[in-house]
Amino acid sequence: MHLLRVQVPEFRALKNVDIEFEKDFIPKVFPLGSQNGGGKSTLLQLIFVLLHCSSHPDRLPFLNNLLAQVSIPEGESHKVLAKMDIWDGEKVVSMEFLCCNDTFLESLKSNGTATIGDISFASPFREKPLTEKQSQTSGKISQSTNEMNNLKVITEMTEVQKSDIMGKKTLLEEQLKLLNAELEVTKQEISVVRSMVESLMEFLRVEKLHYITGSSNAEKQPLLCRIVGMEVSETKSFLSKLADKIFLAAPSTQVYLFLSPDNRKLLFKAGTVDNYGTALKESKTKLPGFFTYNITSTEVITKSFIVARDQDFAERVNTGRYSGDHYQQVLNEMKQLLATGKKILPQLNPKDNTVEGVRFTTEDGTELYPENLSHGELKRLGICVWSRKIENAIVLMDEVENAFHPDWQYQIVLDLTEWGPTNQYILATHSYELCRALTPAHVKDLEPKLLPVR
Amino acid sequence: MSFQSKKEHEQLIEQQCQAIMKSTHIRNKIVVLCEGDIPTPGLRTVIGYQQLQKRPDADFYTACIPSSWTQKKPEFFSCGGRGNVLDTYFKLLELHREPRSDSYLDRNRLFAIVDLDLQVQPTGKDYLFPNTEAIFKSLYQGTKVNQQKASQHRIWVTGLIYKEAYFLIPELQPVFDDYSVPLTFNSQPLQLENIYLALGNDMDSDTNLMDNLTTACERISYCTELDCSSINQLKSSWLTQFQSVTDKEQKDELVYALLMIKPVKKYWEEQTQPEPNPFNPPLERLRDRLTLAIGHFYSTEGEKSDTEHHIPIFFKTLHQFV
Repeated sequence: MHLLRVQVPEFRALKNVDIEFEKDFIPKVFPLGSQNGGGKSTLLQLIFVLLHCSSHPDRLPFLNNLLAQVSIPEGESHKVLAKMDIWDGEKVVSMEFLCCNDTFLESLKSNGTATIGDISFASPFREKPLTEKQSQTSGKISQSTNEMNNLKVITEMTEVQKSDIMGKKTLLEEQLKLLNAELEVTKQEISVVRSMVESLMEFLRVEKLHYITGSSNAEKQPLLCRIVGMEVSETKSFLSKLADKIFLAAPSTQVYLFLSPDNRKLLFKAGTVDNYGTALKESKTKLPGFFTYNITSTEVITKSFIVARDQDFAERVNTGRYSGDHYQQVLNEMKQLLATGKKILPQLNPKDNTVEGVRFTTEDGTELYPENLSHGELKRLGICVWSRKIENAIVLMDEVENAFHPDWQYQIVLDLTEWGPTNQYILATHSYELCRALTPAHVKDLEPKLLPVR
Repeated sequence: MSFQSKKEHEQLIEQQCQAIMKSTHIRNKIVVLCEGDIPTPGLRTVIGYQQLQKRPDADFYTACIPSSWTQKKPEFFSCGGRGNVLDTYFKLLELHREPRSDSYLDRNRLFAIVDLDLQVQPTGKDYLFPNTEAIFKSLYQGTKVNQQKASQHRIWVTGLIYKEAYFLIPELQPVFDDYSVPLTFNSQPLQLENIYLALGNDMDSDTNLMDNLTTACERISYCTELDCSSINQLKSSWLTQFQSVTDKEQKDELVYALLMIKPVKKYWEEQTQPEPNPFNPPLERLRDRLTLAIGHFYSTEGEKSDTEHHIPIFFKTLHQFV
């Protein structure tokens, strides 16, 4: 996969963004520059969330958090959030993500491409309260039925008691009648709404528009995706394939627009930064393409030891002898990345020998404390382990140069192309040294483009 | 220097020296002065880099650094023309006769590399070798670097006529073949052999070569089959030899001989073209990317212990000073 072009008319700080990432450029590494606040991080997050979350229902909340910051201008029928051209290895796929309102549907209808009755983007949101109502009514019916079944007239009862029970029974029967009538109405309403949703989806299908999401706060402006020349089923399938080929790596102290507003606030509240870290960690469990580089990137390194150990063990089971050298390979690779004289080893739990972390030693085995390793070294190790697993993907990296000496800022370009040679890298950066490893044409900027005089 | 007074020139050199001395990047590192446009101060930003018309010359050498040399890499500084590079080199040495606290430069790790060219450039200032040609004779034996003597040299000259000649050595043919944009020479798919033939055929119309024939012929005296009695004889003997030898090693020797004496810049700059196609990039941009790929070739070569390429051996020598 290769992102050939991205266009963002307007989203937060981004205005009239139109950037090309040429397919024939080697290496496929593109620094992206702008002033502080120019929108580099926003652009990377927008691309990532649109491509990584659009096809997975469990990732839609992240997309909705981002969409909460989009509003269609007064009097407009839609707003194009982003257009992207992607090279899928065989052809250029041109996709457009747009937020729309019902006026957009009206305009499509008036074009006469489809004949349809009342449809609205609000329809999918009508079903939920109705099903809740249905569930509540069913509950009440069940409760009343139980109550009624418990009302039994027995011979030992006095006439007054008997009459009281009969009265209650009559009341419950009336109530049940009403509830059943209400349930029936609700069911009919649900059926109508479902039929409207089906009509809406069918209408969109005919228009080759894939309905991605409409969050509760974006009820009237859901997100649609259109891919030139593709039917909706093909669009869905392409988005699903693409979701596995898009990655974002960024600092853990970054503000992530795809987190909920409450979680975003944690970063700036005294004493709650750790909670922000927890929120990020949680988001990573649902966003497999998301990676943060910080001191905790040792988690990735630890995991690589475990995977290598298991691969060696699997070979032992399959071949009957200890022939695997995955663990040794990982050790060697890590050693090459560390400064001369340092080694990295898995930290074993003395009780059960499980791998619980990593430790660092000198060549002669003397233990090194983590503070003897620079943040840059740990970060480089983490990126190496992470990026080696990625193939033929679009990798977006924010502030990759932080904590790197100028030599390593230059080196990271060479490293990335060695660790993941089939990937395309888009690096939001402030580093001149990083750019020097490439040509001026590789470097892209977000500065507003001058337009010709009319 | 013709448009500059001596005083202006000295001021320029002094400014350049101060810029190098105060560059925090060079602390505990090897500094190499090279030819190329002096960068405009204050442009060391991402956008500043993007707006450059072409990749800085110094960055070609940086791209050639062997890939395993990841820390304390040498820092290259473009200092203008060959004369300016040498003047800057000697001025820096002069300024660092005594240790000084206002400079990050370590004079023991200061180097320069300049193009061989056809005109001989004096070094002066009591340097071990009086001129560029004397450096060349000491530093190279035939087509190879004399590694016994390499570590004596603080001022290197290229073993080929210009840095650009290193963009056209025979070993680069696969790099051009595999390049993402199809390249042409004289409207044909780019074959280096055709460029060599064109260079050979153009020998007798090159006034620079004619004027410096004696210097040129001394350089290529290892090719005993070449007749250096006149430019026409040289041309004719080179073409005859080149078209008749089948042994690859002999053929490469002839190519290297040609690239030591025949100016190649215009062949590189004007005649290495992409295939006509509206989607192909502008020439300047294409050349930038090609030099990046060529730099990668030399960087990879530098990882081989038995490499005989000049540039990797230059770095191997420099590495002794880390």
